[in-house]
Amino acid sequence: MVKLTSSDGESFDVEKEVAERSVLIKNMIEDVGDASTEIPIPNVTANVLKKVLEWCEHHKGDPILANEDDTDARKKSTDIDEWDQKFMQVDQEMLFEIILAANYLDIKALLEVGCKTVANMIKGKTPEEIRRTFNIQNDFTPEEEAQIRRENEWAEDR
Amino acid sequence: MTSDSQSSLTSLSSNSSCSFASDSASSSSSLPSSPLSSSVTVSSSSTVLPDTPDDSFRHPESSLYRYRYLPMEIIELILSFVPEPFPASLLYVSRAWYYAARPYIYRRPRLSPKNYFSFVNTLSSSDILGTYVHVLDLRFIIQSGKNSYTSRLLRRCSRNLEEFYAPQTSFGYAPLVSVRQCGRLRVLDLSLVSETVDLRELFLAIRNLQKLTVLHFPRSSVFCVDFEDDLWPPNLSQLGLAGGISDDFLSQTKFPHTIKTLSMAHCPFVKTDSVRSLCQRLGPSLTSLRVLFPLPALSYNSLDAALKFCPSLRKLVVSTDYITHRLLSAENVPSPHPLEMLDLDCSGMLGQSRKIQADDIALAVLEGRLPKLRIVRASIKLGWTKDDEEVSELIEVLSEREGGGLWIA
Repeated sequence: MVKLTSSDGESFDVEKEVAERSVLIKNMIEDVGDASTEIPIPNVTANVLKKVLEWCEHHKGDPILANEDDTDARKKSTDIDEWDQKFMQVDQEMLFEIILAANYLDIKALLEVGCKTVANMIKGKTPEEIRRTFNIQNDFTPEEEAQIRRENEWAEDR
Repeated sequence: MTSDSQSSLTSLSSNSSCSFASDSASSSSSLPSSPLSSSVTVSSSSTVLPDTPDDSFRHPESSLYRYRYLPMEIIELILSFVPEPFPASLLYVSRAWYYAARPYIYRRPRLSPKNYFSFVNTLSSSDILGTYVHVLDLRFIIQSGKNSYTSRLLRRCSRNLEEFYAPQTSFGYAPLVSVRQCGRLRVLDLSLVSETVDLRELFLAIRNLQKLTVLHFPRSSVFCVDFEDDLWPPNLSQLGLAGGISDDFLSQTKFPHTIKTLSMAHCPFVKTDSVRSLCQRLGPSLTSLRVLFPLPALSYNSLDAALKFCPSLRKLVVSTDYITHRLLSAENVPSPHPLEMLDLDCSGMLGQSRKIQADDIALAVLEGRLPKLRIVRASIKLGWTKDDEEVSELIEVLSEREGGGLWIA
């Protein structure tokens, strides 16, 4: 068992195999050489860490995604398996927190599922709808926006 | 907006104006004497965004970064999962999204006569957008292009261009010279080009392209008179011959044995002997061969020995104009041949449809000459129908094999 502590001080006891879905934690355990020490996760709060560990538990037997090979084949599909789809049915805030945590903890498969979920959510949406859905600030000046419209006029109605 | 992000935006725009100044200076120095034609105007004076994002998008320390906002590399990853055609609307979400979306918008631009000028204009006024282009397909640009546009696009896109499909018109000398700079080119398809292309210039343009594997000749190339040994790019694997290549060129040129796929059509001057000799020379390494109408100087049975000459062939596409039933006879297929797919095309000209028939194929399969043959496609012009006894027997023979069958199209 491994003890993980979230940024807000909550501790989680998890199987080593589950925790090691995270490459960051795996490397930490290897560096320390002693799985029984407490590992702090300073960038992730308890409610997010709990969710991430739930995913790791479900996927503990999966083969670890190789780093660069066959990325093309994977990227062509936005298919997400059913369990993951359900898992990702959370509010936008939590979805982003999961993605950021997966990125920080280096859990490639979870990061990809999160990003695919967002990619599916932006299909057919206008820029304004995307901003509203994900709480993104429009930081263009009117001049910049006009410039981008001109530059990409060729890519419009197609 | 907090005062914090306000100050960062100010610094961003002062940064951008200085990077724009250097950008315009470099582009004007690299193109001193190539003003755009009057129909294309460059509107650069109002440019406010820098060509590349500054680091404020990438560093969590930056004041633009908010924990609940996604960092640039994650936006990039999200956009990598957006299926094509990539929606242009993603450019307008925010600055970070604009920079992340651009490479996808430009990767494989969909061009038509309607948006071509606007695309040329945009690429001409930017040093970076062209480097995002990997596939440039100008086959739909009809009568609206100019040699200078094609040439300029090729130069602008030369850094990362992998596939180029030439337009029917406006592919002359200048574009050919620009092709030389496209060091990553894998596919060069000139098959639609109807302007005269000097093959010698073509060979000069491509001989150093290490990655070029697919080359389709223009329909309208002119004779090549000298036959040097090292004409070809080193890794060519697919070659499409077309145009005014001479019979001598075919019989005397040394073709590289890296070629695995050979196709031939629209060659008015090539004769039976030189085609046979080419098949014989390249045969051992060929896995796919296409010989299609019109090749007016070929005789009615020119390709009968195709399987004998090409013992490794998996796929044969041929017009029945150039074969007879002897293609599959014991004499021409002396031992079991690995052919998997046979595609019979037909010009529909008088007398070409009954030269090879379904039972010729069925017999070759039943007698064990084609143990791997699974797929046969027959042109509708051959007049084969399911009700025909011979045809239904062939269907039966083929469907015993996994994934096998007969397609009439």
